[in-house]
Parts: sequence; structure tokens; C-alpha cells
Amino acid sequence: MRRRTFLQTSATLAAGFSAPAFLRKSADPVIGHGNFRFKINLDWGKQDPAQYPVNDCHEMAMDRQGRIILATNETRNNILIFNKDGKVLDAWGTEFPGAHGLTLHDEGGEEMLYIADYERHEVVKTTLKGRVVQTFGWPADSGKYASNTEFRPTETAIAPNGDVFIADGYGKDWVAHYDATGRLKNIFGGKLGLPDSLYNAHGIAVDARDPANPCLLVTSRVENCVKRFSFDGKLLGTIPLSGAYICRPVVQGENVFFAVLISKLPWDSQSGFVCILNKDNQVVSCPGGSLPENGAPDAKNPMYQTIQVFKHPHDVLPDADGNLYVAQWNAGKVYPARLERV
Amino acid sequence: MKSLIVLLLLLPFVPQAQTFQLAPPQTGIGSFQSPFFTDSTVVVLRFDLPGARIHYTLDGTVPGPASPVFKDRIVLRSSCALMAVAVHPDYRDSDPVSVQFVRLNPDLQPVQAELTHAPAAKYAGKGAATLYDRDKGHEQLTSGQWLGFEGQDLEYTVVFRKKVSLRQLVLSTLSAPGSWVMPPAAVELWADTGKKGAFEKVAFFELPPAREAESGIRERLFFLDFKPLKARRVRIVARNAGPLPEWHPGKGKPAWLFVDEVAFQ
Repeated sequence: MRRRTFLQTSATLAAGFSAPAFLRKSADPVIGHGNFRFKINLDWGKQDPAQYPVNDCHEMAMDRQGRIILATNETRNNILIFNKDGKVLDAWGTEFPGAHGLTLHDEGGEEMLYIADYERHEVVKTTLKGRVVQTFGWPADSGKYASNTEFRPTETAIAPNGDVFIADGYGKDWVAHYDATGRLKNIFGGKLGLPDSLYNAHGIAVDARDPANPCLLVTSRVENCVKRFSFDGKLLGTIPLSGAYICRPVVQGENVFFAVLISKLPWDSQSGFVCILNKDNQVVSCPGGSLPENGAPDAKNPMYQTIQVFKHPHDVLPDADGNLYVAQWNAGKVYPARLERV
Repeated sequence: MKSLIVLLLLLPFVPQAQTFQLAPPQTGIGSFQSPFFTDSTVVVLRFDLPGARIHYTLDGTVPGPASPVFKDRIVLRSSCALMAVAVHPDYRDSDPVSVQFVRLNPDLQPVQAELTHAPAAKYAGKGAATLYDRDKGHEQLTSGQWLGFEGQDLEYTVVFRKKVSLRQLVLSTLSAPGSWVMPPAAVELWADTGKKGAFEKVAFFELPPAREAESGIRERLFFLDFKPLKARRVRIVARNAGPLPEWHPGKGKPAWLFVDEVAFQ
């Protein structure tokens, strides 16, 4: 069929009501696979940008009260706190130009936020009201850095013993291991091209799904995988997530959730989706993306976006009912969306 | 007819659920060996979404409802432009994706090839052999399938087994302005036509520059026709587009030139 003929045909279809094989249809689609299927609510967190502006919506955390805390690199309100209905309850923070990583940690009954700021080259620990309690700077003693500006941290994880692990995902891809007082204990990873190196160490999390053998999950985004490390920085294994440029691992229950920023280069290809692993680290659902055969993607069987629900998902937060909140980077300043489990 | 009119009147008031667009079918790694082949090649398009179909064409036109539906494989025996769209009843059709396939004459495989200037160490591939290995480079620029030149031209000389007839140059390059990679500004073809044993310039092609609006990574495949000639040795000069133009964030700095395949028809 020649191009012109087809254009005429489609015009006819759009105007009339004849068998619309290619005509768009209204839909309230359900996305995802298996036990993890969702309806889409893109407007969940929508606000008046004049009142509560956002830029990139980087990461989210949920406090004990079930409030959803968002970090954005918009310095009029770096932190927005939502209730489950998407209403803003609190907003604060004007001094985090690179607010990126957001990790919540219960410290002696009080919940603390760790804000990884790649522009400030440090991680700032605050109360839920925004009072600064402590800062963790660049790992000067490691010998891996010439100056603080090379350190562009993206994520923090706090080990069961209180040690603090900071992933330098926008800098040199080292993981700096501090004790709770901020003394450097170790450094590992780095962009060296070795099996236990990291390439875009964008996220880090404690994985205590096996309570007898807790470990760290560290993103190696350009390698499309997550690497398992012991707390003393030894590589334990690699979980390949071919095709998926994952953000941080989010461990909840027996699952690990990932926002997948993109599934093909370039970085602004708007080809992201959400990926969910089961207890054996098999891929069991990809809302907006393809499910790899046997749940095990590889270079010849990569994951990819199928439905353009999201542009660049940057973090995913599960709630107790199994719904997912999705924050996006570089997506026209959109507020977080909610995937409602069906 | 009456009911139809009522429907038409009501339509604007029916709340429209959001319709999402499908992503294009997968034509990347694993879908085919290489877009360059000598006899035939097998293409497997992928789009793993229950209820979805892939329509495709091989004549470079946008697939429509009457175009063939992809089943399990497409066997190609000649050069063509494959285009495919994904469709699903619940979603808007994907944008089309296209791949240019080129059938090459095995007699035109060089027996010897050399580069006048070495590529950058990071993008050195297998040297001159990279340009006739029939492997296509992908988005990962460090995959070893691309030769990258910073601020320098590609000058590539090939020797065929015997004197051959040539009429078209196929040049596979890259445009990725965000990574300072620009397609070549011009291409010269030199041939040792056997008259004096020296190379003489037989063709010159000016190529369209990358535009400011062009984002992302795009493969640029050029088919350059020239007056048929007979030669055993030819030289291709692809002119680096640098320095980077006024609109580019790196304006004035050297541009990169990336080439992954040079072939003749």
C-alpha cells in the first residue's frame, strides 16, 4: 500500500464508524503481570505548580504514619509530604539544589531522613520537619578523590548496625562506608570495569529478605544490573536486568521494586517502566514493559518498554496495600503517579 | 443513521479515559544479525504484550491495517527498508520503527584495507577491518563496532581481489550531537583506475549536517551513487564535520566522526 493511500484510509476510519482496526479506543488499561497488575492514576499527586512546584521528582519514602515523602531538586520546596490521597500535608527545604536520594531510617524511635545531594556533594540527615542533624561529606581519606566536587552522591543505605553507605552514582561510582558518627571505614566499587566495580552506582539498599544473611544491593545502571555486596564490600553476586537502566532497588516484603529510567539510550528516550522481582530475584512483573522469558533477562532477551505510560520513572514506593507510587525525572515536571493494584 | 447522529452529538461529553501510546516493536539486539548481508537474512520483530500485533512493510511506507502481520520471522533476500508498528485494541498505535537492510555483493568484499589516521584508542574497534566486518554498531558506542575519530577525517583505502565495477558507496555513520558525534560533512571517493597507478578523485558528495533539533542517537546510512567505474583500489575520505557549530553547547570544539561500515554496490 502506498503511503498516500494509507493516509486516506486512516482519515476515513477516524471520521466514520467502520471497523476501526487501527482507531484509538478508550481504555482503562491494566498494566503489569501475574500478581502485580495495576490501574493507572497519573494525576494522583497533581498540585498547583504555583503553590507546590516540582522539578525532577527523584525519590520517595513512607513514614510510620503512612505519609509519602518526596524529594525534588526544586529549591522552593525540596521536600513535599503527601497523604495517601495525594494531598500535600507539609512542604519544606530550600537548600538542596541536588536533592536526589531519600532514605528513611528509624533512630531510637525517631524517624530520620537522609537526603543525598549531588550538587552539595554530601548527604544531609534531617528530622521529618527538616531540622539538620548531621552531614556526611566526601570521603577525603579514601584517596580516591581529588576534591569534594568529584563526589556526587545519589543514595544512602543504613546497615542494621547503624553504619552508613553512600553511593556516589553521579560521581566516581564508589560506595563510601561510614560509621554512624561519619568516620570513613571502607570504600568499594568504583568505575574500574571489574566484576565488583560499578558503572553509574545510582542506588543502594539493605536487603534483609534473608534475615540470616543481610546484604547490600547496589545499582550498576549502565551495566543494567544490580550487584549484591556484603557489608564489608565483597561482591556476592550479580542480578542481570538486561535492557533496564534501573534506578534504586526498593526492598519490601519478599520483593524488590525498581523504577526503570529508560530501556534504551539515549538518556532522554522516554522508554521507562517499572520492574518487580520475587524472592528468588526473578522478574515477575513489568508494568509498562515486557516480561522476560522465565523471569530471567539476558543480553539476547532484554526487557523493553511496551506501553508509554511513563517517560523516565526514577523511583517507586510500594504501600501496605500493594499500590505503587512512581516519581519521574525529566518528565515535564509531573507529580508522582499511583499504580493501583487490582 | 439516527442513532449515529445521537452518538456523534454525545461523543464530546463522554469522559475519555486516558489512552496511552504503544512503544515501537523491538528491532534491536537479537532481532537480526546485521542489516548488512550477502545472501539472505532473518528478522525477528518482538513486542511482548498480550493482544498486540505487529504490522510491517518492506517498501519504506508506513504500515497500515492492510499491511502484513508479523508472525514468527521475515526472511529478506534483497535490500529493503523495513518499517513496523505495534497495534493493540486498548492503546494508540506505536510510532513506526524502521531499519534499512542492505544486501551486499560478496565479490566486493575487500581483501585488504587500511586507515590513514588511527581512530581514538577508546573507539578503535578492530581497526580497518571494522569497516567491512558486516557488523552494525549499536547505541553503545564503546561496543567495538564503531570507529571514532576526534576532529579528524576518516581516510580508508580498500583493495579488491580483482578489478571490479562500482556504482554506489554505502556509508554507515552516526549522528549523536549530545555526545558531540556529528555525521560527516562530505565524502570524497578516490580510485586507482589503472591509468597512472595513482589515485584520482572521482566523486564528491556534500552531506546534510545534523540539525539542532535532532536529539538522541541516530544511525545515518548514506547511499551515494556515482558514475560507474572499474577499479581495484579505492579510497574513501569522509570529512569530519567539526568544529562544532554555533548552536552546539561545545561550539568551536572538535567534533567526533563515527563510522561502522563502508561498502560498495
